Amino acid sequence: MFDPSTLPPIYPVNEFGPLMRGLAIGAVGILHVFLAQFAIGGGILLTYLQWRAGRGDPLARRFIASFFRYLVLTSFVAGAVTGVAMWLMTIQVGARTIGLMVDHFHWLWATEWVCFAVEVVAGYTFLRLGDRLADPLRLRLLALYTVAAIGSLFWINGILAWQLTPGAWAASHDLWAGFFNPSFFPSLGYRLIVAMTLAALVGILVVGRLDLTRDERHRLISTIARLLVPMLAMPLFGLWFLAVIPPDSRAWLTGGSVAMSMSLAIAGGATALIAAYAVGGLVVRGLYASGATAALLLALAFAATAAGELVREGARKPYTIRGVLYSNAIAPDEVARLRRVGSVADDPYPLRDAARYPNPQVALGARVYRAQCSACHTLHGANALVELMGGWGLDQQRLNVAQLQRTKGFMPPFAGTAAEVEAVVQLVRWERAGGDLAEVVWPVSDDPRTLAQIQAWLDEAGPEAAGRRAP
Amino acid sequence: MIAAVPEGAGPYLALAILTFALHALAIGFVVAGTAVVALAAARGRADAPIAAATRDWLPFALGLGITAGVAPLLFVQLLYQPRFYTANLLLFVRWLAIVPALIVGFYALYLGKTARVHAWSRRRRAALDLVALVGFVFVGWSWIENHALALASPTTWAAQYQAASLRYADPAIAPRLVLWLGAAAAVWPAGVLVIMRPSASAARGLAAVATVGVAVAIAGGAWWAGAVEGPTAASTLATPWLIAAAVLSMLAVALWWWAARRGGGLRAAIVGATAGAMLAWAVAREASRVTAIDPRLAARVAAAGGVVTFVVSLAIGAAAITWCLRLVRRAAPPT
Repeated sequence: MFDPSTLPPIYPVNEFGPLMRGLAIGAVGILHVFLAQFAIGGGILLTYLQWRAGRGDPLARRFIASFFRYLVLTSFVAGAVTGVAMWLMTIQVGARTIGLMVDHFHWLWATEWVCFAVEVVAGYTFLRLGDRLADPLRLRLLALYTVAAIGSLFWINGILAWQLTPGAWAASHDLWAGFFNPSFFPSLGYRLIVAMTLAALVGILVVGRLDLTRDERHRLISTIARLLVPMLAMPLFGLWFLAVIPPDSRAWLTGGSVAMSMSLAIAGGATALIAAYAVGGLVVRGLYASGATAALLLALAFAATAAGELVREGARKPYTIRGVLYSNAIAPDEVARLRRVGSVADDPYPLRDAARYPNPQVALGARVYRAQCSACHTLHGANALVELMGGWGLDQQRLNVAQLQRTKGFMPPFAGTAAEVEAVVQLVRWERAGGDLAEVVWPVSDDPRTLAQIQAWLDEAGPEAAGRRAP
Repeated sequence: MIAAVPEGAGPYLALAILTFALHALAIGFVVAGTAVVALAAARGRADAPIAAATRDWLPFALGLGITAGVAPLLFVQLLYQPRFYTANLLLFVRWLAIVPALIVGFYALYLGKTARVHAWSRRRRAALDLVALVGFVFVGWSWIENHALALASPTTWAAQYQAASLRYADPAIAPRLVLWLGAAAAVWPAGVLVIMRPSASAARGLAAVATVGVAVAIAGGAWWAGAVEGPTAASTLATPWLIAAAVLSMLAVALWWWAARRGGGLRAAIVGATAGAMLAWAVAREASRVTAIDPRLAARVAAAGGVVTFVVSLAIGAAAITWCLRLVRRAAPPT
């Protein structure tokens, strides 16, 4: 018997104007990842240089004091606060997704928090006392900071990688099977190298601000550039990652989706350019890099980080958690029921702009759009439905919405009734005709033959995601 | 209160309370400390020992407060998930505004320590501190508003959503803000005892601030207990803890004045009583909404694991942090 208390919570939906929700989280996420990875790489760089300082390298010691201030001012402040922002923004764009992740991995998240707390305390201790401590103690403190920072990455990486490749967890729901999932190690290795790369590039930038002779700067840059050598292993980790992700995700990245393939190309291309200059120029040929060059390389690294995060996010489609939750926060095993009762039958939140719609059908379309489409689309802004669907014929619109997973394989199946398909189609057509500004009379489209045809299309495609339909 | 805690929620509730108390201690020091340095700057006394020491430690305290605050943010998502997420979503950009407010406040605190700002006029220095202070109070107010909205009914949520209102009015918001601001004023003097050894006359001033803070907090607590009603049975469950917090706060005040008469000492006792009072305030805060814990929590977390990993990491992390604090004590004892 159906028990409404077992239904998942339905959350109010916000829209970000012309930005689709994915762009909003992407903007915060990319900034946070960039800063957080810099914090980790910064620890590795400082520990290495402190080790050198303990062996009598005075330049290394001078660099540490200056670099650490930048590390604190960027990572400890903006990094920590954007970390909080990530929580809050993730709730905004995917409350059910983050809820599920918290439910399953909260003890590991709490472990990650312990690492973060140690990182912050060790970092501030070094900031306050570093210049009063002997070299061995400085090295221990920096090593503690670094181990804690890497620990933080270790834990969060497992949880994020699980979203794309849950691996054996899907069958067993075993925590460790989910954590040490197929993409865990390639992601961890890749991110660690990115962290070292970012720190080295910022380090070279900082060297340019130190009061040193050109020769001293050159020596320091050569020392710091050693952290760029692991970039040579990035293709290995990248290919490993591509090899272990699901075949459909790999297909999107390697030509199936222009946007995702371009993101991959930008990430790979920018990384290759940095690696070529860093390893070939700075390490092998011992070239000098000015602050301007370092800034340019850092901008490229930011582009690579941004594109890499888009690849990671995009590869999950049509899921936010592979096999568990679609990108519109509907679970695969809920689709069949929603096709019977409707996707908004349980939604307690009214429309904010109900008065602008010309009839109840278009208003229903607006509610269905809000529940099923607005996670990845807008009506008139980024990835706009009106533009995407506007050129299609009427029956083509009905067919393509009813069989979303066939229209584009990285979209989830439509999770509603035939009447809801028609309502969405009417909403898009009405918006394209000018919406409330056009003041057109918009009759309700309720021909039983149309609805029967849509139902047949829904049944034909089935409630499963593309490539998952039972034979 | 314990009887009202749903099955499986106990460990999360305990951790939420403990980490929130730690967060509130650090943030209390920051909020009241920022007000103090703003006032000192406006009066041209920015270099007075207590104001200078406070300013010196403010960024670290904020970093500690934010870090400590991440843990209760995690446990709140477990305990009150549907309610907490709904309130987040309903307050939308107004809620997200706490992030830039924190960033601006954080950098303002760092900027306030620089030599360049030290050379600024009184007014400009005080204005910079006030910017940070307004930001922090805004963040606190937003949290309280979020907390109140999370406890509202689904009907209220639907109306709030339809109205697209980014503010939520509730009779519990103002008294709770008063309570926490008073508690912050009581925490800052105790924080000063941790970072320095104030002179006898300065200790009397600190005792006076702590007394005013406690009085305001108790008044806010009483106002809150009277203002709260409804399905959460807030007043019944929270009142004993509000009383405990008031008693511990008054004990801290008594210790302050006793120490002032003796010419010093009792630092550990004062700090302990203040921390104990904050812990009791934190328990009262959770007791007031314990009946709102998601009844599906146990089912939601049934497949979760890793608690041993967390406990081991906590032990190692605590040891590492203790080592760092010892290092600080040895290298820079309070002066």
